[in-house]
Amino acid sequence: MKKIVPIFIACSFLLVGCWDEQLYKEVSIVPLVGIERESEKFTGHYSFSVISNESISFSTVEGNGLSVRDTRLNANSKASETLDLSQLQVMLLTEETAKLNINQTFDAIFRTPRTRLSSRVAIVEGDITPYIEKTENMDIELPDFYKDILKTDIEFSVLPDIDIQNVAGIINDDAIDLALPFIKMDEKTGIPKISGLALFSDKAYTGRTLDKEESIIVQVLQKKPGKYSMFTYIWKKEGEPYPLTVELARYKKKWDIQDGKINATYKMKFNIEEFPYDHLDNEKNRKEIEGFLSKELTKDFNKVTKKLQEAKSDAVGFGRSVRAFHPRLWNKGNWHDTFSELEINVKVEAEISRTGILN
Amino acid sequence: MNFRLSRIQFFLLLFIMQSGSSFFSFPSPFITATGRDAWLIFLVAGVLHYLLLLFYERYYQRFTIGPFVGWLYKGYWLFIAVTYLAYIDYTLAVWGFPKTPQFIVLAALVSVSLYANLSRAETIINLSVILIPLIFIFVIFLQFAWDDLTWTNIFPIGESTEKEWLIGLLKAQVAFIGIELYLFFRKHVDVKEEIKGFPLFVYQMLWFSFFFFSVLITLLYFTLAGIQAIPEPLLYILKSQELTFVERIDLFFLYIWMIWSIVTVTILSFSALYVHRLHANEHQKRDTIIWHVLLVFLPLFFLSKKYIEILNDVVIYVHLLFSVLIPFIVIIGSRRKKK
Repeated sequence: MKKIVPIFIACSFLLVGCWDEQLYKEVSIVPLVGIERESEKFTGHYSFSVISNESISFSTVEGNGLSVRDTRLNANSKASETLDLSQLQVMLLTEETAKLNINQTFDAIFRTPRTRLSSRVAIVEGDITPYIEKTENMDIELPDFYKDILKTDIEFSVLPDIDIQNVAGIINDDAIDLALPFIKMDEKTGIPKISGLALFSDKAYTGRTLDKEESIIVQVLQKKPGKYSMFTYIWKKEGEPYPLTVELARYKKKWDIQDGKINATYKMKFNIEEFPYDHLDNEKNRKEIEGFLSKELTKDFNKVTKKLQEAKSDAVGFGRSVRAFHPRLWNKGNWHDTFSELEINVKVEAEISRTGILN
Repeated sequence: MNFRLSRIQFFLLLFIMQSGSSFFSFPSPFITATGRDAWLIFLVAGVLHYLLLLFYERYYQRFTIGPFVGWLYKGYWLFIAVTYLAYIDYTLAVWGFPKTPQFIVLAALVSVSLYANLSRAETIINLSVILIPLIFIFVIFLQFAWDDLTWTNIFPIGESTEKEWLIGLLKAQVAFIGIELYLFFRKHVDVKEEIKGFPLFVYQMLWFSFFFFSVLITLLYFTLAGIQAIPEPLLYILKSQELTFVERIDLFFLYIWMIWSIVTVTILSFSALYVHRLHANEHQKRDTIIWHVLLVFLPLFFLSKKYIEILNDVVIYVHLLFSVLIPFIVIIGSRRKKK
């Protein structure tokens, strides 16, 4: 009897699998979803895997409904198997969808325990249909294509390294705004391409975007750059133009926040990646380049900050420091309004720390 | 029931009981009630916890109970076990086993306790040891969220009102549940082993660090609005981590929590049956089975969000009665009798 009881107990734990098992052969894995919303009507485009002749291809099914979950129910009836979002890699939203409170679009994703929170999110320009269909020019499947292009631009600091879970955190934070990857259709190739960042204010897309160069500046301002952050300028010497490409090595930021004013100083150390003029062994030349970089970067950083203020989008997160340590400024009113009216001065102090294997 | 405990066994028993019954359920309601000052309030709650431990250590020998108080404590632990089992069964249904009949999960959880409580006391005492590596793994995996923490989330400080402090100190009592076992099992600790002074302080710091960490990481990871939307922040943090070797790390820890719960329920049952046997030593096997049948069936009446919330609110006041008021009355009463 004493031996039977522990065996019975051990076996009872296996019972739970009887009711909650889900076999891969009974579901269609959906790695890519596109959501369109018009007022109270949602349309979901689900790209699901089809296995035939030992190879995987992707097919798309469309569903309509009153919510994101409802669209999946509707799409389920059109697909041969149940659509399963537990392996979701990328979620695309149209601009119109993002202009409405995106909390409602994400609710089903956050609430269901089976969904993957590390999936990426991006905003697409125009209709979603062309973005969810593979073109002949594309050599890899769409879900992998989006995953790869997003990953590359995250590495090169064009995009923030955020997933659905981070989106949830930022949506619920009144001291920082969301900035999501913005994807456009390349007119020449007909292939989607990342064009920069879509700026949000509070919980909705503002309709304003930043280009790739400006997007890098946002990541650097936030002090959350990717693996590489590069800047290229044309430096002129005696009327001759020389390209100058530098890579950000290390940097420190200091924000001096006063009532109605923020002075942000960034002390940056750069590696020279390309500079055909050479002569960097000469300290005078190095100082000249440092001065040039400081001036150009200061100008560009201020330009981006101004754009963010115009969009009332604090994508950098100045609000978090203000909320924590400057209650008087924080309590002035709605942070998005306060932020847009602040005097923000960004100063970049550049220093060349490495010149590469050539001087 | 005759058994001896080493100092480590005693503290481990106490720690598993205190953490197992509330660790996952503690941060969200506590921070929701207190706001950004939650970590400060928990510092004060930690001092109160230590004072209570010192009080217990000083007077535990005077805590001698009769059958009436014994029945009160048995009822209390039944209530705690039912509250806890209902909570974990509800959480498992939401996160892991939505389609599995809930009585099956309950029966599986309780059956281990039944087996252990039908065996010798040493089985239960040593059962807690299996959790030590699992708790370490759990804490280490939570560190993966390090990059997503926002340190400014804990500022500004001093915004909570007096009312919020009071509610916060009350809500913090959830982390104290199980502390009353000190009074029951302290006398079983080997007399050669010192508890008073430094060892007790070490236990206090261990308990404090564990719960303080859970409050701090939740505050740093989520915004206040986010915490209100998420009832299980620690599981959610684990779910959002992307690891190469496991897709759903939260499920892995849900199973760890399940083992944690099983051990906690086993200790609770052991405590109740220990008190029962102080005054009724006959039909031990029958009483053990009846107790466990109650543990399977009573939680089935409370498996909805509404009842879970009611039970979690009520448990604080019931705990205060049994960990502060009744011990105080019993100790004062014994002192008078002695005089």
